[in-house]
Amino acid sequence: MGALLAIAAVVVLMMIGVPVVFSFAAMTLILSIVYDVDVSSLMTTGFWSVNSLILLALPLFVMTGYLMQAGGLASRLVNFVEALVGKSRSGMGTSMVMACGVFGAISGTASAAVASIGTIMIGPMEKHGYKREYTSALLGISSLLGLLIPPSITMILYAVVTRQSVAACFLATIGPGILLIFMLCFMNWLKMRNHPDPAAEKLSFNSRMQNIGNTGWKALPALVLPVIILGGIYGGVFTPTEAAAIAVVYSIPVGMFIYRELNLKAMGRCFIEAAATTGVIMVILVFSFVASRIFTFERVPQELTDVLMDLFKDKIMILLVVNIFLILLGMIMDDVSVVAIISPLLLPVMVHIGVEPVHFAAIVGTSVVIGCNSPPMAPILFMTCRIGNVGMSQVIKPALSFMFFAALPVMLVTTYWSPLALYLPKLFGYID
Amino acid sequence: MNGILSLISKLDVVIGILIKPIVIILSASVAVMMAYGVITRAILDQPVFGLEEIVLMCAMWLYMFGAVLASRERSHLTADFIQVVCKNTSVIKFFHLLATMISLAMAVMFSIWAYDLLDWALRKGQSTTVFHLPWYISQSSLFVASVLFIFYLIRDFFEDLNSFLSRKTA
Amino acid sequence: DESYKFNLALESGDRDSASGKSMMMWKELIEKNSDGRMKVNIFYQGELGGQQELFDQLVKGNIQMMLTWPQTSYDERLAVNYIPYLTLGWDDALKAYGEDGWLKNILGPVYSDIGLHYFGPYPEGFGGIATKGKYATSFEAAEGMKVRSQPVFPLPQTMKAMGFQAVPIDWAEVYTAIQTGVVDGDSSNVIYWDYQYFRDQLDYFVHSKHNFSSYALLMNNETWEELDAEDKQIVSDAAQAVIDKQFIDAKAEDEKWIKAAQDSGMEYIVPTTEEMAGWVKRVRADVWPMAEETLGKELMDKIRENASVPQ
Ligand code: NA
Ligand code: NA
Repeated sequence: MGALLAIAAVVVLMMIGVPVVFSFAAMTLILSIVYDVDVSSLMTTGFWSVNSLILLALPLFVMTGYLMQAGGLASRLVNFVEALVGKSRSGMGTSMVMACGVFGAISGTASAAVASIGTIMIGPMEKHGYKREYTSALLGISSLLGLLIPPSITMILYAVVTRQSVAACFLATIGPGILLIFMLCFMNWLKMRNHPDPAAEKLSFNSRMQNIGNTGWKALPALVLPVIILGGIYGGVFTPTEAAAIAVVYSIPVGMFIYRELNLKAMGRCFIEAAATTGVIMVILVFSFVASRIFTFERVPQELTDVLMDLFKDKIMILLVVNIFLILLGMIMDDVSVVAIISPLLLPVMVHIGVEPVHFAAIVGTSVVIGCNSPPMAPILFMTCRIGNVGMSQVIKPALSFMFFAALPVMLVTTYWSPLALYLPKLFGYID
Repeated sequence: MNGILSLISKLDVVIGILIKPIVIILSASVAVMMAYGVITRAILDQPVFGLEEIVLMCAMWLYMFGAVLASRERSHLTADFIQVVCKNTSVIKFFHLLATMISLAMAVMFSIWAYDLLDWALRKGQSTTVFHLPWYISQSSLFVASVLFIFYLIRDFFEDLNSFLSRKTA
Repeated sequence: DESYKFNLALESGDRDSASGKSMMMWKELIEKNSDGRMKVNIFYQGELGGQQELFDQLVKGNIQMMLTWPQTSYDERLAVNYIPYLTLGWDDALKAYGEDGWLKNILGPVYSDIGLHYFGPYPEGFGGIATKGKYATSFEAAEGMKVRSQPVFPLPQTMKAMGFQAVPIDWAEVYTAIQTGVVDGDSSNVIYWDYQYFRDQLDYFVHSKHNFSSYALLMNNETWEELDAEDKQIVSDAAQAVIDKQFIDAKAEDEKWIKAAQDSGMEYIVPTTEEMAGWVKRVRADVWPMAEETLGKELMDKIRENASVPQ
């Protein structure tokens, strides 16, 4: 009961505009009153939980995202993907999805993709007959590939709060990520295939090949980065955190000396923006860890499991309830809160009905894709509206159709067909 | 009220001048130290023992100062729900003010909790395994951050109050 | 008579581990002998966070009772528990750690200074080095091998003195680290942990016996002092019963897991007396002076006086 009251309070406070971090502080305060515990003595939980080498990957992958944007790595990648896919009709939309996917293989967040790919592509796509609101909505969902294609900050958070292997959680969302790429490209093709393209340019095969070669060569230093990051992690050279540090240290000279777009001032700005982004998350985490600890002391996850098991006997039903729950929470909560507070609460239920924690990572990951774009708490959709210079009310219709016909099916397939999430973690030997 | 706000804005300039370079240096150090750790271990086969102790101390300050910078720019993660559902500026401004007041109260609570953590750290004097660095070096960062949160929320409070009181003329 | 609810945490060990069962025994004895007035809530490994947090929670009293490896971060004198090559055989070890053993008498007052009540040790056995692909029984062979080490003084230093590179990694991440090759294996644990958690990764267990792994049964001192004489008796008698049982069971338990590991295909290696002497000499020469700096001469003299002589 106390737990429900506290979570309800968080939702109300967030709705009236209290920043997440202070809503979480309030949740902690309420829990401490309801359960008669001393938050002061629990601050040590917050401190030690955040004082973690695994979590250190977070600021570093966020930095990488900003550095890619400022150092010209992002634009080289987009150019290359555009050349590969071709610039006509449905091709531009496909390019945007693919660019987000490639970008996602380097960056750990969605916001970096929105900012850089949005700035580069929304204008040109309009010339090719794409409505701004449609493009912005597509970008809103596609950018979440940054969380599904590793490295992923969401998966790092999930792994830390549920004590799973980061590397295993990274692998779990690749399948769903690829499925989402496919779904989005397909939806875009259905919608845009017969669309008139005022700026269509027909290139000869030779000049197209030349274009691919050119842009590919220019993008090569950026394309090496995912190889270093993922190859390094799965080749046993370094941990995800170390990979993130290598990515930062690598992208600085590439931006400065190869692309010559990054200078010291811009680099400083990247560091400051990344610090602000991660600082906010870390303070939220301090409180969510304290709240989680109170939940554990009071056996709330077990109670929740018992209640759910009493109400629904069937595994499929429980999964469905959890899906709906995650989507509803995703509407009103941000991704960090859902992962940090809800995952550890629900994990015991999942384990009880025989769902692997790594599989649940993928379920949560795919629910975040929807959550980040569903109002009222839709940080990514807000951002695409700003970058695309369109109003929320115009974007909501195409955004809903992408959520309903692409993101939701991906979440359902991920939930009910476990090999999609578990094939790679099994292949790499993370689970039996 | 304008007197207070101008004093706050002067202090804010000083805080910005102090914190930004520190954040940049900490970010660079964390990335470089981690990368150096990989190179020494994976390539030179000579791991630096205890490097992560220093890295984590830097990281904690980086996080807390980062969060302060977010407070400074009012860019903490927030839902813009009221603005979406309601078009009445008076109501919107009232809720802004209310949210800021609640945030301020919570920042004060955070400060009390973080002070107790610091006090404990100073009294018990725990230290790290390899370099025997006292843990209060990084545990103090939470308290410092909480105080700066309060500072910026006081600024926000006066700004929001101003904006709420002057809504008719706007 | 007052009613109490205690949180009891295990730093490592789940429900089915020997330590998990021992804590269940402690809980049941307390609940039975107090006619249910005292309730104990057990939290197994990982449920309440990592080592440092757990120890803090115990000292602060959010967790009232714990079975843990002592954390040296509060008081480095607890490093006495980890002085490498202190005892070389089971008889010595049990004598040192046992009731009224010389080591136990050193540890009690140190815990009391931190604010903890010490019931006694929970011995597990001698630690070893479990590795993948290759193994080492000497300083020379160990060079270039990376093993995970607990971040408590002087275990990493001991690994270094034995020729290994010590990499401090949180218990939850050890599996991945071995799998991805960040480390070649684990160190300073009894074979149970390496068999139970990493057997599909590890090929060798070298029983270097550089540390005698011993947990401590602890209670927050304020909680302890709140209890009346009768309740104190109930809790400490129950603790003593657990400890006594473990002193009898530990050796057999360790041997059981050595056998299980061998059956599963892990190669169990005992270094020759000569190889052992080489390690003992290096470790005592490198690490003991370091320990003297933290522990002081008086304590170290006592240790030297009681330390086993390698044969
Ligand atoms: Na990514
Ligand atoms: Na949402």
